[in-house]
Amino acid sequence: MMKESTSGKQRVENRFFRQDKPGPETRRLSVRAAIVSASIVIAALSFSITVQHSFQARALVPTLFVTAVFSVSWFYYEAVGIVCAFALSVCSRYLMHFSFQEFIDIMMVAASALLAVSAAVNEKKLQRRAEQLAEAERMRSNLLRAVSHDLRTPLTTISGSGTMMLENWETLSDAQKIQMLKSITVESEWLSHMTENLLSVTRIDHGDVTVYKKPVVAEELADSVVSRFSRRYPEAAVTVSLGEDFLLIPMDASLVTQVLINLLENAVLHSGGTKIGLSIAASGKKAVFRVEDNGRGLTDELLKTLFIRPIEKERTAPAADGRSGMGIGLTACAAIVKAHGGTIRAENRREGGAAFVFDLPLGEEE
Amino acid sequence: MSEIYKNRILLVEDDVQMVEYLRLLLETEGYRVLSAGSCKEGRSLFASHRPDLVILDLGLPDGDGTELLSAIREKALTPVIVLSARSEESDKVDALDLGANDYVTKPFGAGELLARIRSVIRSARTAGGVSGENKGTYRSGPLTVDYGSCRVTLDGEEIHLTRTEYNVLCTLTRNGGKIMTYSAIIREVWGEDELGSTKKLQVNMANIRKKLGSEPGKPQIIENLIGIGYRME
Repeated sequence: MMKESTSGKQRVENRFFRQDKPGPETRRLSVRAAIVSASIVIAALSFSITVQHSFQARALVPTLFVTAVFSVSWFYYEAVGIVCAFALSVCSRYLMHFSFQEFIDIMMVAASALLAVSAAVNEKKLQRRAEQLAEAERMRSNLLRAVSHDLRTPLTTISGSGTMMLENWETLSDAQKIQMLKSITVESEWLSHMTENLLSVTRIDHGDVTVYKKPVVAEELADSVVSRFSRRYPEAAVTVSLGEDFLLIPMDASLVTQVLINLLENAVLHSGGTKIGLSIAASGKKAVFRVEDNGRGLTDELLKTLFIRPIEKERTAPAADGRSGMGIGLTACAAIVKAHGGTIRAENRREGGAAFVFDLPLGEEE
Repeated sequence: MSEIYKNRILLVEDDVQMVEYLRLLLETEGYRVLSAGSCKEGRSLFASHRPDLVILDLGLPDGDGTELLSAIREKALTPVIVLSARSEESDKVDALDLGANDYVTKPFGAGELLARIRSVIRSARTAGGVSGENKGTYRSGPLTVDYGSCRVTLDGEEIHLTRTEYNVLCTLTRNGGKIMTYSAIIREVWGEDELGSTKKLQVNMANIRKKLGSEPGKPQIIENLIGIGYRME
């Protein structure tokens, strides 16, 4: 529905997608690579010369060369391997007085070794890549399935209520009409909330993406989150505890806000408690966030699977508004916290109720 | 809002459903609504009708709404509320720095938009004058700022602020109702926006909040918009 203008600064995606770090399989031709290769070559060469002189045996030498080429091309680009093969062969010809025929032989052997190694290495790279992609696909399809499930229900309610009212305007009572309008409003808000979570997860769940952090004042974050939360749930009683000191935390504020709102919402809808507490405190090099409730706590089963994948509907305890599914919210929380370089966990409090705790690195000052 | 003269609102939005919805909403509230579906149309309607408020959508078919925003600001101080589906902070900050008074992200609640409209129109009318003017008083709720004597009182009790804190506070009160971006405040108070200025501002604001006795989550005198700036009613 919204047409975004294509002119103007395109900051939307750039903000979230920093350059991917090169993966471990694609090592570049660097000074380090050159030095290591050279060292291997020289070591092989010296060893060969020593062997030749001490033992008068030239049989071992080609093996050594081949091993050297093998090790170099395993770690670095094949081009380097080719250069090494050639270099070693030339050395063998001139430094160690192999005949021209033997020189050719050594070249051949080295080349074969090179080809064999490249093939094996590439095979492995491809396999690893395929596995990673399959895993990412699996996660994505799980997420999509959970999301479409969570989206379809409110959509059904909205569409159904609207249609009902249009078709039965005369026969419905005012109270019924009001009820339907309320449902439409509430479900739309829920959809909006779900969409935000989904957007965050798809932005972040991309492997090596880092979030764009800015220093945020802890007190301001708490105020912003709790005000927003109170607008949606005016009867919820949230107590905020912060330290006395000024605390700046590097983060993407809108994402962390989402995490906190998700956790607070879970506390209101699923804990069965009456009070919610939010605390933010510095602990060493981390900022620790806690959202606690005084409800019924979490079952052992939930504790184990809470953040691993979206929870299937059957498992969750019925919520205050009859809505189950903590799935997307917590998946989004875990993804966001992880992308910040932090950790998240859930536990049961000694005093009863559940606590969701996550930390973010405080990092260097900007 | 009990005035014979009804405020005219220029709506610059290309989505037909949105226009109909907003027109219904605003006319029910007693505003007169003009609508434009593009930057070009918006510009000409603004020039010919001089509305009291502009609601501007950023995603227009013939250009970025910010161009229209700059064009409006060149000629007038008419309050502008920007609407956008993009929730990126940088877009909000840009729009505010270009002169928008407020920013509303879609989807928004009807009540929220109406409240912002009222607030923006009210503060445009009672604008605190040119910065540097040392007379008059600002009053909002329990807070009073006497520009002449540089005194700040909360519920009658005097609050002692440092020189810098006072300047920061006044920047907000003089622009009551308008969102002041970090850089706008920094430039007013310190002159230049350098590296580390934002933190200086944040520390000062934290001290001001403490002295005003605000608690996170409770109704605030100074609203903070993370990543963007601050606003005082």
